[in-house]
Amino acid sequence: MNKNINKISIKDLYCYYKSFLAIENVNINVPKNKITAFIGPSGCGKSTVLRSINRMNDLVLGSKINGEISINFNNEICNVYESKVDVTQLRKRVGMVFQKPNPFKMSIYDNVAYGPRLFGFKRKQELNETVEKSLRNAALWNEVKDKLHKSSAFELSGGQQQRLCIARALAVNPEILLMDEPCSSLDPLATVKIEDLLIQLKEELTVVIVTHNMQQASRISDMTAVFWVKEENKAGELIEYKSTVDIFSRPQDPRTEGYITGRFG
Amino acid sequence: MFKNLKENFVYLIFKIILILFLLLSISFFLYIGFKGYKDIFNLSFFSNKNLIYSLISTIQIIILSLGIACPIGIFAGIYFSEYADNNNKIIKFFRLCIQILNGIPSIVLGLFGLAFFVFALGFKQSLLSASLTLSIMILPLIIKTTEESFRTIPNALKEASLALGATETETVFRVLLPYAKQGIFTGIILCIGRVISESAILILTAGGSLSILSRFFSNNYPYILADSGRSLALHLYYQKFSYNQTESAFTTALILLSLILLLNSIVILIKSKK
Ligand SMILES: Nc1ncnc2c1ncn2[C@@H]1O[C@H](COP(=O)(O)OP(=O)(O)OP(=O)(O)O)[C@@H](O)[C@H]1O
Ligand SMILES: [Mg+2]
Repeated sequence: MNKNINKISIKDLYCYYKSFLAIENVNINVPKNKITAFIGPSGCGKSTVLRSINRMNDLVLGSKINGEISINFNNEICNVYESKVDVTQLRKRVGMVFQKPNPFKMSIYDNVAYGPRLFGFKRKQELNETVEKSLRNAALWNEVKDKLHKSSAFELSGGQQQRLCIARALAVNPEILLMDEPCSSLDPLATVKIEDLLIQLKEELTVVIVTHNMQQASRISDMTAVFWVKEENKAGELIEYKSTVDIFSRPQDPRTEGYITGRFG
Repeated sequence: MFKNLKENFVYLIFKIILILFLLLSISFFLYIGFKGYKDIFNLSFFSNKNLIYSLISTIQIIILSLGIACPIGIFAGIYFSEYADNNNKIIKFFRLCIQILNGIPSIVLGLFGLAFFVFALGFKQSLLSASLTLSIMILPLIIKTTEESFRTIPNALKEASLALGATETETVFRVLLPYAKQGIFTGIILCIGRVISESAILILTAGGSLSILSRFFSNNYPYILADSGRSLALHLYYQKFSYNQTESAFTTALILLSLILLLNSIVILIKSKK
């Protein structure tokens, strides 16, 4: 039923930081309930595109956007940059996980409950259930269930902290999860845990993940977008976007081939 | 070989300076302690109503001046670090004002307090006038420490909160404030220290009378902020210059010094808990 629905459509996207053009003419359709990977060399604008989807780039002084990003919320198309859009509601529905784990200085429970509390979850029972479900979905429940209130989030390992951040993002029930190199500070085992987790999560939501890890992209993603820095103006552009299988087995652009085989990039 | 020698020479100089400094401060404390301790262990200390009155007045002044300066200063600091657009001309002007305010000699502020609170507003020379003037003195410090404590918080935390759909204000109060708390608290304690040690402003605005001493133990005592009074520092000043009671002045000095030491230990304790 959900087949072939575009969850996110990015049309003619241009992003600027002050006068610097960071992204030039990006067009991507992200399919629903799939994992889409953004790959490419450093500085090619992967994070910029990702952060423009939930308007986190609004926070950067001097950033500007041209083009259109629309998201399909239950068949209702929301044009992200329209002035009537409530940014807090948008960010609630489009969760984000960052490169470095960034838990709050609170207990594990309060970290996960933070989002729900913002949106008016008050009853204890309800909150407890949400926290447990989110932690289970983030494959962290068994490790922390005995110290939910006792331990500060900082007492967890890096990998656990990152899964806590995923749980925190899941707790507000987002439809999209944007992840910017979520495994780059983790060891291989923790990385595998999160990858398995993402494959499970895509049943319920749409994932866009930026990664520098080619194995990761090929292991978990359904679609892959390859970005590159244009020589003339140093702007990032999309050079190839198709199913991950196609990208890795028959890349069309020689730059893609060189990048995924590790020859350059 | 030669390089090592040079290095050792520099170390030696550092050590000498350090030891001299230590000796100087220790002998200073010992001197004050020696001169002031007698009265403290004397029973007459507790019947020394003037001293106790000054101590209580000091506390009143602290509470009132911080009660005024903290809410304003903390909100202003939060505004400057989290909301204000730093390129805005008005904001820049405000910043400049705060910086200038911070540099004004307290005797000048005292003069202002005398002209404005004491005469223009008719608060007379009183604990109230003194507290109001003192709150102007400490306001820039509170703004600055608040702003700085917010600025040192990693941006990642702010982003994490906003990315969950929190508003700017929710982020400030639920996520950032717990981090900044320690720094703000340290700033407040330092301000208490400044209020305790301030004398110029009090000389000009507090009056320094002990006439309400008779009402000291009566029920309405703590509410007489509108009366003329004195803090410990001012008490010391009068002891020496009006009555030439050098010995009891040292007792007051010792108490003042102990309070400052106590406050500084609290600051060190807070910082080490980080
Ligand atoms: N806040 C900012 N202010 C100014 N320029 C920025 C800012 N953020 C990114 N840029 C610039 O925009 C371009 C794209 O940056 P972006 O962070 O999107 O790249 P990326 O593909 O995510 O790189 P990486 O793989 O290193 O994370 C770069 O040239 C970068 O210097
Ligand atoms: Mg990036």
